[in-house]
Amino acid sequence: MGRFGRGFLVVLLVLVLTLLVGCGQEEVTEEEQQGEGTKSEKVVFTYLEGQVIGTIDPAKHVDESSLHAVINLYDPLLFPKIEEGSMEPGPHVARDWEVSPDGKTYTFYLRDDIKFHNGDLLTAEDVKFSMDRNLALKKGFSWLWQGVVKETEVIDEHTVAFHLEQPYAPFLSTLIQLFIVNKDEVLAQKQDGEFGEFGDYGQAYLENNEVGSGPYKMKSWNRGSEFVFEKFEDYWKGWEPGQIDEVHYKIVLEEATKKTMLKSGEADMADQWMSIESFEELEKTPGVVVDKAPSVQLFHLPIHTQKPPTDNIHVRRAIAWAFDYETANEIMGGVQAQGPVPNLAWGHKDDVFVFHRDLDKARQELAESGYKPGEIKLQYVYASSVPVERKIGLLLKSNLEEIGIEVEIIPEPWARMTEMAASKETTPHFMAIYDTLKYPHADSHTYGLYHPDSHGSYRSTAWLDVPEITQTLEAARRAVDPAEQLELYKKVQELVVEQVPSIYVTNPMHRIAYRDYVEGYTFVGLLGYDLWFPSFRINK
Amino acid sequence: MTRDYLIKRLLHVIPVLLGLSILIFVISRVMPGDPVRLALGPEATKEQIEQLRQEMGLDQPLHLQYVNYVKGVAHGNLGQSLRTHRDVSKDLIERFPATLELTAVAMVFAVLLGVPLGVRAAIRQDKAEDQVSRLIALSGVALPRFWLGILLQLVFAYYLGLLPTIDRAASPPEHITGLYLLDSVLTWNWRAFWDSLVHIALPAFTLSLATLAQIMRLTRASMIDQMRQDYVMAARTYGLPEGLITYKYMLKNAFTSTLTIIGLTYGFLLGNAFLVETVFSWPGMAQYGVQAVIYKDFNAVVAVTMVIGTAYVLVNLVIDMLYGYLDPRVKYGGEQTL
Amino acid sequence: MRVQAEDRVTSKWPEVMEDWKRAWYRLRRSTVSLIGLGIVIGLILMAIFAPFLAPYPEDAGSVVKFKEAHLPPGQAHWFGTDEVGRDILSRVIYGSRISLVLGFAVLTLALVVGVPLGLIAGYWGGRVNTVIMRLTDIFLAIPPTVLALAVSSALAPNLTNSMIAVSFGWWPWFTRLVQGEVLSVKEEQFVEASRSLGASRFRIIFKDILPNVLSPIIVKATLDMGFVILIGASLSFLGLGAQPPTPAWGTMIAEGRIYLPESWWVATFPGLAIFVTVLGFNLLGDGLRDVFDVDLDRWSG
Repeated sequence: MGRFGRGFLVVLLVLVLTLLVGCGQEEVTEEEQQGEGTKSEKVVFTYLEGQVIGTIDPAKHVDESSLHAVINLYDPLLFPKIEEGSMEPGPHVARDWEVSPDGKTYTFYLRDDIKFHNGDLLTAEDVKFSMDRNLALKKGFSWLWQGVVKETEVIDEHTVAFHLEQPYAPFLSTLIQLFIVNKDEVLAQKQDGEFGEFGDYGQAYLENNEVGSGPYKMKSWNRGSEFVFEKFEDYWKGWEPGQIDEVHYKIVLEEATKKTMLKSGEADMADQWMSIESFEELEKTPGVVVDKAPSVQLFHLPIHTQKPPTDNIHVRRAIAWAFDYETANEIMGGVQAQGPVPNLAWGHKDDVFVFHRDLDKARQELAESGYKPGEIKLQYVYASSVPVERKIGLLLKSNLEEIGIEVEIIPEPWARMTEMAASKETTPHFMAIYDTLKYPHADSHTYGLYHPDSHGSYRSTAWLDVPEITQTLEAARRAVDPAEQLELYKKVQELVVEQVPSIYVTNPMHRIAYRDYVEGYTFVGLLGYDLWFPSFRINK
Repeated sequence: MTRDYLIKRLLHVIPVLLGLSILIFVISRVMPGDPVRLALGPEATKEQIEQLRQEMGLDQPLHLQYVNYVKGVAHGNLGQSLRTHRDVSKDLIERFPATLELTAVAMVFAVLLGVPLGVRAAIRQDKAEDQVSRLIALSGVALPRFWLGILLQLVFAYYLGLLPTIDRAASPPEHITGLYLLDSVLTWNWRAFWDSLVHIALPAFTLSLATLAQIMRLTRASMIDQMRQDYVMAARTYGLPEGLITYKYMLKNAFTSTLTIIGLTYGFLLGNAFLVETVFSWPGMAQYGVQAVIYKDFNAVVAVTMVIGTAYVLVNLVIDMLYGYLDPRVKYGGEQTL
Repeated sequence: MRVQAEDRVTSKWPEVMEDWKRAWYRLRRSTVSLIGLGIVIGLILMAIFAPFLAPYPEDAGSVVKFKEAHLPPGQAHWFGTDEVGRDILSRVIYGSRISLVLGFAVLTLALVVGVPLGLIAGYWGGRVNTVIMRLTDIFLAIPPTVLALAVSSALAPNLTNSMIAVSFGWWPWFTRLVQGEVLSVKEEQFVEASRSLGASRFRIIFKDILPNVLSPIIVKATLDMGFVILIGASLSFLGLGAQPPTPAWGTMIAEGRIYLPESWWVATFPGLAIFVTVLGFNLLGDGLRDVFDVDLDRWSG
């Protein structure tokens, strides 16, 4: 044994000692960071998200993580009245507005005290530029205004007017998605492109930089793992003690890790996409709060209406009759969806036709379709980071096996799913999609899903193109009289449901978990707006 | 002598790397899906797609594509990542230090523990302790790395709360090399050193276990070999202390074969790094590689594979050289039967 | 004259058979190796008789029983149930089929490609040898896991493709093994003698070379089986191998991971299964190597 054995023991002892000492030290380190020490009082907030931030360009953002970034880096023209618990648009960049009697001109009076991160003052020029840019690039939420906004006019330094082609019912609601960029800075950074004097409209620059006026600035961005936001001191709304100075927006793909970090306090909040089991577990954990609220979210399985064999309406009906909605709702902990518009959204038609499980009807429809049991093989694609979608896939597979349709379930990263949605050929027969209300109007889940303008995004993977529906949608948008609007939107829902472009599964309860010292979390139903960092107060 | 040997080995290495690059390149271009459409995003028009396809040279025959790629690499351009929309070279530079640090610490740990344990087992050959250690060694190799990582995370991070779950450090030291442990020491930042150490502990241990087991086994085997040699008996009869014989002479001689083993096991270490980095969300090149594979990001896949291949080949080259240097029989000519 | 010559080409097979008999006696004395053998045989039996051994054989497929989800290990379900109510024990048992099939398929593929190449390289020598050896160098230039990952990226994620991906990295070992053996045997006297007597190349390969090569191949294949299964499970864990609802062990661990620590059984038992399987093959392989006294390091490169 001799020399060696002793030496080994000594090393082991030293390691154990350092470990013990280190544990104590580690606590001190974390406390230091979280502002209890005298060294730094910076309030740091760590949020875990399973989806990589795709883009921070406010003319291109569509999904949740991108929205989180854009909402905090930029200011929209109008802002939902979250503090009042409502989705209704209220003043933000625009402090007041007027609508012309014919419904075609909206004039906005802007605040004069908003500064961009680089010090420039926000003016009407910037608002016009932002709208024009959106319309030119034709990405993100631009479909809200395509064919709607005819011209944007700068009346004076702080007044801007939008001239619409026709009256457009949801116009005000949509403006919560118009984020204002700094025109001068974008043009200073423009590169060669196809937009004439505007070059590439600053796309290359805005891919990796931000030119906003929002409450937070970009401190650093490691695309695969973390985005760090830091407080913009000169934010026009001002700051109060307890608000967050720095946000570490971390990308964590594994649910087990999210849970562990939340429990240990390494993270302050995690995203809403965890499994029900995880939320139930977190509810029982001391120090962790799970906020539950009925959501205006639709979870559904859009069916590709232009790809055989699901282009055959009898096949789609067969699928709709075979699915076990009850069990699905139990698994997801929600309320069965009634058509595409979430039950709580304005304009929802309460008595729209709803399917229930009836295998006989399913087999009948299949017989009428001309396909025999065993002939059909379909693909179901779901997000690998959302485990409950796998369960639904297994349920679907099991249900459809009973009528002789085979389903292959395929996990993909969410980012790949949004790209599969881009073309008819690459979109699979089924996708598992959560669609949260984008703006508080039935239009969000009707036009946004079933008008050909929205084709190519993850929202409209059914590729529905029915002229009657398209026309009714356009008429509904043009309606000035609210009663007429309502009627038309209800009619659209009826028509859509008849086409069975989707299995409308549920309006799930919205759940999110965070540490109990985080105050101010309010969920009103709009995607991304619950993560507007200034709403939080950290109370340790 | 050694210079000739070095040149010979280098000449051997270069065609291998070239061949590897061709292999991987061909594999990557055979991928299903349309990389151009993926790169441009949902709103691309047919014209834009065709244009980019021409720009990226995807409309050209495979061998021309390869030539262009190699030309690009010579200028440091490894292509663009479809996933991060940035130059792959930039991504790799960002992520390389994390993996380097992890594998280095794991290797050091495996050697520091594996060699002494192997010596012990050799000394106590065939006794109960040896059989047990044999079992442990074989188990260490059999444990699925990702499973072990998950369990360790569970026990140490979750149940016991002793160690953090993921990440390299809660607040990293100033960036000099990108190796947190080294940077902390260089900037005399002991808090960051401890922070990084605590974060790297679990992943490094998980990664090192199999290698540790292998090194232990092989040290034992070569020590046993040595013990049978004549000089040992001679030394004993001369009355040299046991410890001296063990450490000064036998270990040194056994070390040469241990060295070869280190080269071999390094390969498995690298392979397992992919799994460990995924489980621990370690922001290294291996995790980047896994995501590239899942995402079918062909430029990234090729780049990561080539970097790993080059590293592996170079390490083995160095080991070979050291082997040749240490073993006088090889130093003075003669073919290496590899 | 020719009849006489062929008579004199004595096959090496009887000698080798004797070696094997002796090896078997020695193997029997090592407890550890016997444990390995027992595990391997047990595994093979489990895979073959899965439908009879599994208490809920239908759970290996896509049946869903949400009412029975997340049940802890108990009387009705020894290993508990998973997220959709399937019996984990049954799925683990069926998973042995997938692992063994993967292992055998990969090694068979590697052997079918590697051995002939090695024979050709060793026997024909010269340029052919150099080319083939360079080829093995290239494929061995990256660790097998990395190569498997890279190949996976070009293929759709499913079980068959993962088998192909793993075998890419395995055939070179066998080529080297065989080539080395061929080279050493080639020089030996009796081969010279046979050749000078006009015996065909084939004869020499089958009667002289192959018997010698067989034992190292068997030992290596057994040792490697564990590794191959491990890499296959790793690919499944990363989502590049068998897809749900296939009960591959790696896939099960990935699925069950999010339910830790509450439903710990979902990820733990498949991992245990992988561990035992790999251990079994390693123990057996280790024992075989000792017993055949084979020096594999010669060909490890």
